[in-house]
Amino acid sequence: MDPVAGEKRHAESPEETTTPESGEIRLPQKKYFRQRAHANVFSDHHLDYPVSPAHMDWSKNFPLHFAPKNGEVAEGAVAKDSGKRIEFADIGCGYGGLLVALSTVFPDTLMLGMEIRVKVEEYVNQKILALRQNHPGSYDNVSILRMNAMKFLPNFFEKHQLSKMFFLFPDPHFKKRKHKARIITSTLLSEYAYVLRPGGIIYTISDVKDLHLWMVKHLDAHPLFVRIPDEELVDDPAVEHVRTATEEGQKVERNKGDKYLACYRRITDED
Amino acid sequence: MPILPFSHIVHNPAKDVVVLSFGEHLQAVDTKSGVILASTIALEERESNGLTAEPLTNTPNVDQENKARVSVMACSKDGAYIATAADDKIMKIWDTASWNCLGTRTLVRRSNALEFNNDGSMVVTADKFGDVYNMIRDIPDVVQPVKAAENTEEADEDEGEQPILGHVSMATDLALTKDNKYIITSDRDEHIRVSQYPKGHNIETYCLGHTSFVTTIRVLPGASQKYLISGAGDATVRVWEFMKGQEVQTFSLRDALGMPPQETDAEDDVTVHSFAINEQKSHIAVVIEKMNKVVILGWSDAAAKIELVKILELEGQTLSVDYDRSGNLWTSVLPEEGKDIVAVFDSEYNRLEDLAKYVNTFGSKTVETLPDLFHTEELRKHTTDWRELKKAREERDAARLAGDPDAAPSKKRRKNKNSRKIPEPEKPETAMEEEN
Repeated sequence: MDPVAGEKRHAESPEETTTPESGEIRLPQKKYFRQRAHANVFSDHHLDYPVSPAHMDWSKNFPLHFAPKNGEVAEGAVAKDSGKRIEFADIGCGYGGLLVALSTVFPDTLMLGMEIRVKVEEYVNQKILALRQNHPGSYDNVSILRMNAMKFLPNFFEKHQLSKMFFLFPDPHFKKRKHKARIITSTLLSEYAYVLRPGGIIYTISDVKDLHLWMVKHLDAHPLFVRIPDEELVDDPAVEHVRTATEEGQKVERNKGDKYLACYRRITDED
Repeated sequence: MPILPFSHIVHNPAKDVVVLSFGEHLQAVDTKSGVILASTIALEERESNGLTAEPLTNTPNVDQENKARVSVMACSKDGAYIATAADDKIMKIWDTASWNCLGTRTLVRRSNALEFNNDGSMVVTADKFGDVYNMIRDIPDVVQPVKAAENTEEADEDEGEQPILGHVSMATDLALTKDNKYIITSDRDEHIRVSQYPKGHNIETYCLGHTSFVTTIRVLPGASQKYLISGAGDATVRVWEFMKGQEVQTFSLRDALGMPPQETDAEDDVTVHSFAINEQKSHIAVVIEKMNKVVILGWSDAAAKIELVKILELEGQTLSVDYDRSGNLWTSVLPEEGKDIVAVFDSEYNRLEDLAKYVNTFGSKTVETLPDLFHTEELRKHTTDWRELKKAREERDAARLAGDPDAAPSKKRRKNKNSRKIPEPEKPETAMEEEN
């Protein structure tokens, strides 16, 4: 896609999203936030990331759970941390369908989406803000960051901080020489195992069978992950949303495509 | 014509020998007499200053020599082996007694760091693509034909050796702990990672604090063996209690050098190139890129503190330094016209003219022009915030609409696909993000 054309379309959007309509804020419209589905994860994007998790100011993302690091309490923000930490991470969250769905299923759990595409991140951000306004008391536990999760997870999360990580409909990177850019690789799984606590779960789903098999192969081979049998997944309230809540998942459904789910538990390395 | 200076100096921990690399070649020098013992190239007859070149103990076969610049070099703890990796991704293992090349192997990518494990049976390499391989030292004496270098990207990634860990970034250095239980790796994205060795999938912790690319890491000497020193492109040297991922000291090189502070990640900020460690004296020599000074630090393991000992002035920009077994510091510089390429200092940092005279008279080789000898520049990031680019573009557009004839059109539309190959220096970042 020509970036110029993309930006021109985008330029019309902001006013519309903030137009009040019968007291409710209209949710942002996705058509103004389209962006090419791929990003080069190896190039140096301009990203804002903290030096370490201790340096991160989460108050802009979760104003009801984190006080600003500089001590200046903004309107509608808390003066003291709620003591909660982020526990779910949706890696490459796209248009944020899963986060929005899980937000009310796990209202006491903080969850963060990471997305590398600028416009998509803007969209999800506006959507969450609008949802918070329209449903006071809800959606305060979800947020999004523009981030390259393949590089900077340890800058945001402490060791064993997360209990769930989601990799839903990731970029398939079909070409063989692009496989190294895939989000599930042997060496990256070790980093996910670092931020995931023992017993924590990785959810993967794809409509691309080759990619699904690739993810399964690498997760099966990794000493710190073991597959969760399908029958055990029946009781997991996150699973149905993993299948249906994302925009990508709905698109596959409309096209009557297949979805391949594989979930793995993080175990500890026994000698 | 200039003499090619030495890019790397590595001492042999078990013999009174230092090995120096220049371009694709190696020379071994006796650190007691200063005599050149072995060379992968015939010694040049230059103006001899009355010296006579001692006959070489060893001259390896010409067909064993490296074909590209040696980018990294390491010696085994028992002093029996030297491993070299060159820009052509060829790794070689050399016998330090016979100076025969024992094995040659094609790496997947260019190596940025090499280290032997304690018993010398394994060679660990960290590469440009962030992967770390644990390789058996005894490698076949052939260039493996399986992967032609240019085809590696097409090769099946599941074939052949698998990395024990990987960074999604350029790996810049690695260090094994003395007990070989842990491996510490650094990358271009400011990370230092502590993993189990050889089971690198178990990440213990990260040492996070540097604000620019990390260039070099070493475990500090002393009884505790729990401290790590790191150098980076942010003008600092940091000390870590590495198993806790805890920074215990930040040492500002700008302060030590009497330079004013500078903004973070400035293009020309002070960049640590490498460390050399004198175990007996607990001294660390800090090589700073493109500077003719070496900062000597003293480390107290009990106090967990580094202090400035001395700033050593050299006759040219420092390329590499190492302490030999006697505690003498061998330094290699990019010399000014007519000056020496090597200077040796005793453990009190007084210059020892005699030890360097052979290598300055007969060492290395004459070249027509000097190649670029500094390589850390590629590590600094050149990103521009897309928001700033957008703002600048909008301002330019507004000025143009307002009738300012000097305001250039904001962006030329591409006429055809091939034109994307023409570099557009003014906006590399947005283009990358939106097109790749």
